[in-house]
Amino acid sequence: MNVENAKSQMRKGMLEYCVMLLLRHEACYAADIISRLKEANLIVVEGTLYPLLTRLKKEGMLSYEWQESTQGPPRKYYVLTDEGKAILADLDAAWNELANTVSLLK
Amino acid sequence: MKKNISINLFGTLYAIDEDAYQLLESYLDNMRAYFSKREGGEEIVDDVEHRVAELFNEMRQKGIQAINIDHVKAIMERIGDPQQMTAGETEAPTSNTGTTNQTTSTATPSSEPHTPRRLYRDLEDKILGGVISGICHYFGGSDPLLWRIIVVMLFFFGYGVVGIIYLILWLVVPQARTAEDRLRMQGKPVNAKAINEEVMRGAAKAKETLNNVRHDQRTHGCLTIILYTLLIIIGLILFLPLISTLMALIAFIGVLAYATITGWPTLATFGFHERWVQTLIEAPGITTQIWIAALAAIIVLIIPLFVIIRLFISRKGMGAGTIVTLIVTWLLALTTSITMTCLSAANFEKTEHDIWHREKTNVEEWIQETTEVVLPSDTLEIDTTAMDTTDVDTAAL
Repeated sequence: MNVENAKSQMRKGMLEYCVMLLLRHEACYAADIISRLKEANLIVVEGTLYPLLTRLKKEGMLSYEWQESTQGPPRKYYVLTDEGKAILADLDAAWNELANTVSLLK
Repeated sequence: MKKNISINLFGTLYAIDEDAYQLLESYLDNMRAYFSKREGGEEIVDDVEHRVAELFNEMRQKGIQAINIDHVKAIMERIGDPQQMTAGETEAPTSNTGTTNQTTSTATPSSEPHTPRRLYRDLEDKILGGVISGICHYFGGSDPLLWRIIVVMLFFFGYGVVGIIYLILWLVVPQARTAEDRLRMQGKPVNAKAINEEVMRGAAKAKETLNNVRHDQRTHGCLTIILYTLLIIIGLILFLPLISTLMALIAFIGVLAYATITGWPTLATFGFHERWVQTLIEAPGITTQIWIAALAAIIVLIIPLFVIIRLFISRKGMGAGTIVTLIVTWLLALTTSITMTCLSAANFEKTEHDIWHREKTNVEEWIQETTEVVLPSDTLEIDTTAMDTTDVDTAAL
């Protein structure tokens, strides 16, 4: 069994959910999300995030607004839309179920 | 010492080495080409560009004054290439030894080592549309020159359909735009490492052409390309007639040289008309006139041939000085050739007429001499009889 592959598949499956979790309580800009995902070892290259954010935005989960930054270029601050919040609640339920199953199996 | 330029990223200026800039530009171009196929692709590239600006900004705060090529390479590794970026959506990245530092230098072997070649048009090595160099890559060849010659030969020796096939392929076959396309075109495995190398190679090449000639094809507008294509087509059409005329002219000069050395009368032994030979001998200065006309005609033919051959071999434009010199020389040669041809023709005609006249006078004198002796003229009567018979004939009808 390819352990690394299995691990990365697990992380990949969670990535979308985790990004949404990060945005649940506060608006974040891409660099914030990147550093936190990196801390959690969820992404390998930073670029992975951008197609994901674009897709979530297209699906109506997120929206963003531009904010000027005192240092560096203007930033996109992402927030969950109402629809996104509803979906997130759905995903929460699914996650709990999964976690329950896993701990039961353990 | 390196040349440094400053770039404007979202309103802030950053100093960056020229080679680093080339690399960054091709990295972003490659990404743009990759994502252009998908919806929201431009936004993704725009986000990446913002990220690059952010990282530049971080570097500046760390006290880095000028961004060099190593910084750009580090950023490229950090953000990843388009394939890695979308790996999460399609396939699994295998290297996952991630600490917070970027340890992603190991490539993700996402596809098998021998990917099948794909047919693309190679725009980095093209005469018209890069079709032939693409086909050459497809069959594993390295130098498309031979292929080009074969196709042009086929085109001119009765297989005009080759031209139509070429045009269709030009329309149908996609161009190799991204680094990945180029790798697939050459049948190389497509993985992150290879893509990075290809991007680097592209950057190095761009730098090279930038250093060599400023007005590279990059700055050529659409009109220039159309004009260039038109020139090539005209060249192709004119090439064979020009060559064959040149051959004929060389043969003519050979005969001329032979006649000049051995004298005009030798031509009579080749079956030339005696009157002609006589005229050539007698016309004043006609030998010089024909020589000048023939040599000037050689120049008139050789200059366009030279231009056409150069058009095929080299992609660089000619200097204005060369062009003017060529045009002036050509016009002078053309005028000289035409003038000398006309002069010699007039000369020939006049001499021929003189000879004819002389001979005619001789004959007339001879006739006059003989007629005076032999018979007195009695033509009028014969005429009337002839008239009478026709009258009778018509009356009878």
